[in-house]
Amino acid sequence: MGLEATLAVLNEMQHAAVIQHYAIGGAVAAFLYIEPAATFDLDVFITWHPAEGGLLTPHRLFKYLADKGYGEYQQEAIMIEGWAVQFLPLGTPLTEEALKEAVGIEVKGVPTHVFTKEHLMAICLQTGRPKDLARLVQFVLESSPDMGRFAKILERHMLTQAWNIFSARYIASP
Amino acid sequence: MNPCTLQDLYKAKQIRRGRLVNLPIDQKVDLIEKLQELGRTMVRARASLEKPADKDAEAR
Repeated sequence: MGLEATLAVLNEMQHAAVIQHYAIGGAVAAFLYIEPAATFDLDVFITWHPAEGGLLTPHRLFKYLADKGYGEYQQEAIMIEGWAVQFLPLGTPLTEEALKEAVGIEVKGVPTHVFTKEHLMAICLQTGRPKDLARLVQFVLESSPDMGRFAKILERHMLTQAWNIFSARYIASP
Repeated sequence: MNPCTLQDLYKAKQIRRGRLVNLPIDQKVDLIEKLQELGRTMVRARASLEKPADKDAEAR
C-alpha cells in the first residue's frame, strides 16, 4: 500500500479505458511543489468515455473499482490502496486546461500526471477558501513559479483582477 | 551560550522549510503518508474523547 499502488490502479483504469485522462490536483499536487503537510484525500481530476447513448456517467468507473474489491467509501472518497481518492469531473474551463497541460512525473517508479504549479495557483485563487489562499502565498514564496505563464492563465480565465487584489494584500512588499 | 534572537529562529525555520520544499518527490510522498498516520491517530484519540458519557458509570 502507498500512493504508488493507488496510482498504479489509476493507470490500470486508464489502460482499461474506464477513465480517459486523469491528473492529480488538490493538496497532494500542491505538496509536490511546496512544503508538504498532512492531507488525507487524493484529488483526481478525470475525463471519462461516454456510455452507450452518449451519457457521461461515472457508473462504469465505480463498477470497475467494486469488481476489483475497492468498495469502501469515506465521505465522497473511495479507498484505493490506503488513499481516499476523490474522482472529480472537470467543472470549469480552468480545470479543463489544467488537465490538458498536466505534466508527467514518476512516484516511486509509477508514472502519473500532475497539474502544473501555475494552474494549481490559479485554482487556489479561483476557489478562494482561506486554506487555498494560504497555499497560494506558499506557492509564490516557495515554488519559484513562472509568473509570466501564471499571468497568462489568469488572463485566460478572468482572474487577473482577483490576483491584483490578492497580491496587493498578501504578496507585494511594503 | 549565545543568546538566540528572533531573527535566528526565523532563519532556522526558513532553512528547514526550504529543505522540505526541495525534498525529492518520493521522500515528500513518504512524509505525507507518515503525517497521515499521525493524523489518523489524532482523529481516533479525539473520537474516543468525544464518546457519549457512560450513563451507568455516571449513576455509580
